[in-house]
Amino acid sequence: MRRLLARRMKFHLLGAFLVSMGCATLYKFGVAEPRKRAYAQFYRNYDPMKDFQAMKAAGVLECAPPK
Amino acid sequence: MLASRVFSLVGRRSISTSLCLRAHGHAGVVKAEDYTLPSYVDQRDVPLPEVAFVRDLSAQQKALKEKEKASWSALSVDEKVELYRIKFNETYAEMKKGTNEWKTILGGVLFFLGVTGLILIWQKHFMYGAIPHTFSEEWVSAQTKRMLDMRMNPVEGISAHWDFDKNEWKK
Repeated sequence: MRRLLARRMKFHLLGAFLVSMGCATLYKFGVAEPRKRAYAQFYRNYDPMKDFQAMKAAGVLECAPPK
Repeated sequence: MLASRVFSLVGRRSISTSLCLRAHGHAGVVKAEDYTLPSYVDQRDVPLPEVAFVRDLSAQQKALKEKEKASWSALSVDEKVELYRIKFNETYAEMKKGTNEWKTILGGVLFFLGVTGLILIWQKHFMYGAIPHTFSEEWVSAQTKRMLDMRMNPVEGISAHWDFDKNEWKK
């Protein structure tokens, strides 16, 4: 029973720190980094005019019909 | 006015007599209820409860309490344990010991989830009508084709999984 609160507090402070840091790291390397890479990859060779022509031909643009 | 009539019918004497008995019977002192007095608790953060566990000592325990007033080295181990048990109900080890309650709780939760599942199955089979026509195979495929045509979610979403050159899903 000696140092009951101190022991419990130390354990929980350390645990809380590790859990929160772990969650942040997991998110960064599980979600944030792959997303950044995906966007970089997409825009590396992106041609907006070609994309526009494709959408126009498919007929989804109301003001720019395929003709 | 009617109340005063009742008074005269019952007779003032009988009412006042019974009231006096209650007030003066115990010389005006009311017995203290149990819940108003200091109580014993087995709690981890209350190491020394307000009162001892055993309130009314037997003759044997009273004799032991007398012996406690002398030198403690004269007490045997059993006597020391007996003195502890008079003062406390559970040891810290007994207090902190877990129970098997979680198994009951988990079992109950899963059981009622199952019952809910059965209710939902019954509802789908007997109660609900047909789902909307927009869930049919043709509608969903036309819908998906339109989503791809307008390049919806091209970075990480659905259009990112379609190969526009080969006209098929990416492997």
